[in-house]
Amino acid sequence: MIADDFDAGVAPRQAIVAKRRKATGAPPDGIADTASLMDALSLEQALKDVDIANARVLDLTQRLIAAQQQTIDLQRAMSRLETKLAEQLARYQNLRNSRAYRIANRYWRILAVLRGLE
Amino acid sequence: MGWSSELAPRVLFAITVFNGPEVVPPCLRSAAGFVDDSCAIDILVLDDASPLPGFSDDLRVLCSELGVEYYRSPRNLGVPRNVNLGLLRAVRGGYDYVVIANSDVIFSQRVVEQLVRVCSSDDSIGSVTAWSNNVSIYSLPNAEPDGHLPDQRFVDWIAEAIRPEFGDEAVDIPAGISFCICIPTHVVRKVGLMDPVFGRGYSEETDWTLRSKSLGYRITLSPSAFAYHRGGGSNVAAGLVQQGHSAVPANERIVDMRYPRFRSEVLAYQHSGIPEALTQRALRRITLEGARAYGYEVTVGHLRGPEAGSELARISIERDEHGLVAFAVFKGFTAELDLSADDVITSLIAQVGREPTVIRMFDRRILRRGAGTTLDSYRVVSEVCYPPTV
Repeated sequence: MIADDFDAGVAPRQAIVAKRRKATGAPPDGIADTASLMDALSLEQALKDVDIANARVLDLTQRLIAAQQQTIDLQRAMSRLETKLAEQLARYQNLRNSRAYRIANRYWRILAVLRGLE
Repeated sequence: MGWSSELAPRVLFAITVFNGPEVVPPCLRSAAGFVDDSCAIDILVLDDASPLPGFSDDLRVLCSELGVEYYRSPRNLGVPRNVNLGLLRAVRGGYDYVVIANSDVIFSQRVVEQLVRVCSSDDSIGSVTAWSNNVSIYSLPNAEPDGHLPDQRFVDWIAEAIRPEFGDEAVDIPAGISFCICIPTHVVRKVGLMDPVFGRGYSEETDWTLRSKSLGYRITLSPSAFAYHRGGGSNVAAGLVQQGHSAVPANERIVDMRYPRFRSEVLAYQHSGIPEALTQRALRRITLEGARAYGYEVTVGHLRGPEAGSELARISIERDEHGLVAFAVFKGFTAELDLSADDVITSLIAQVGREPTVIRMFDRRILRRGAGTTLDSYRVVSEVCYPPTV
């Protein structure tokens, strides 16, 4: 098998694993040390993470409040503009319905027809 | 590397685990077999409170057998915070480098040595990502990775084959991938930890490496540091990513917001020609080295398909609209070869460095037309099949 040939030229893995096992020492103590060390690291970092998360919540809450205020201000401004627009549309409609506008409109149409006859 | 034992860099190799009874044991056995002639490697398994019944107990026993350290978090932290435990342990423990790795990887024997060598070649390097069949946009393509590559001896062989090609090259990339990434601890001190905002994980290493870049550090990949990476499956099973997705969109949006130019930098890299050149060099090296070491057959005029179980390499000579082309195929890797010489077969033999075991002729016309080849001195077999060419 070619697969067996792949071993050629590389260090024997079993020997390396045995060496690592020997170097690491007795497993029970190692496990207890690792666990207590990592528990302490994990707890310390978890507390920092909570602090960071809290700071982010406070910051985001402030931003949310600011954004909401901006939204309210924009909505108010939009309402004012909508009212103004409605007023302007009503004025425009009144203008179109006036007697003067209709006479002027008729005048321009007659003028256009006469120009066409020339 | 040339370090004396007291100057040898200390490396913490942290493997993050969340379930995965099929992939984790081979991964740990692989890591336990690292060659550490030139650096002192400690391996730490960080089990993120795997919920699979009995899995953590089995893992603890395996770690003890292999002589690697094991820690199970009391509750699930998510990938970024689990990775942070490894980074913190490395910094507090006085290590020079920390490698963060997934648990569905088979590492080449000298991958740590190689990563450290590249890391130490330039003070401005902030991270070095290993190379693999499955490493996002930097992947080295293989037709059947899960069939050919989950074999420790073959992974070691690939690494040894491509090392002379790339040496200690550090290729600058847009973002690091934490399937196997080496970081000097002095960089961790400056850049900080992974951001827990990425929740259960994905994109946290993109954010971290881009943060390191903003502080002036290079984000690099070492093509000589090869590892097989299965990838994907366990994340879907754990609910980390949705079925049919390869990322977490919410986390990508965070990266988009923080680094608006990142996507265009990725596009620029993809169109730079660097990834193709890198891939072609490696594929050519692997396939030719495979052909040289284990023999090869030449097929003329046959479509490249599956390798039909052959353990030999295969060089396929075909004709396309531009003329003759040749492809070398070895265990799922395929590379296009040069055919500049007048005599095609002689030019192939010169590239491989040995003669083929057999030349299989599916279409004799291909070598007749101006290929200048005489086949008298080789073993030639005429094959009949349908269709001979398309």
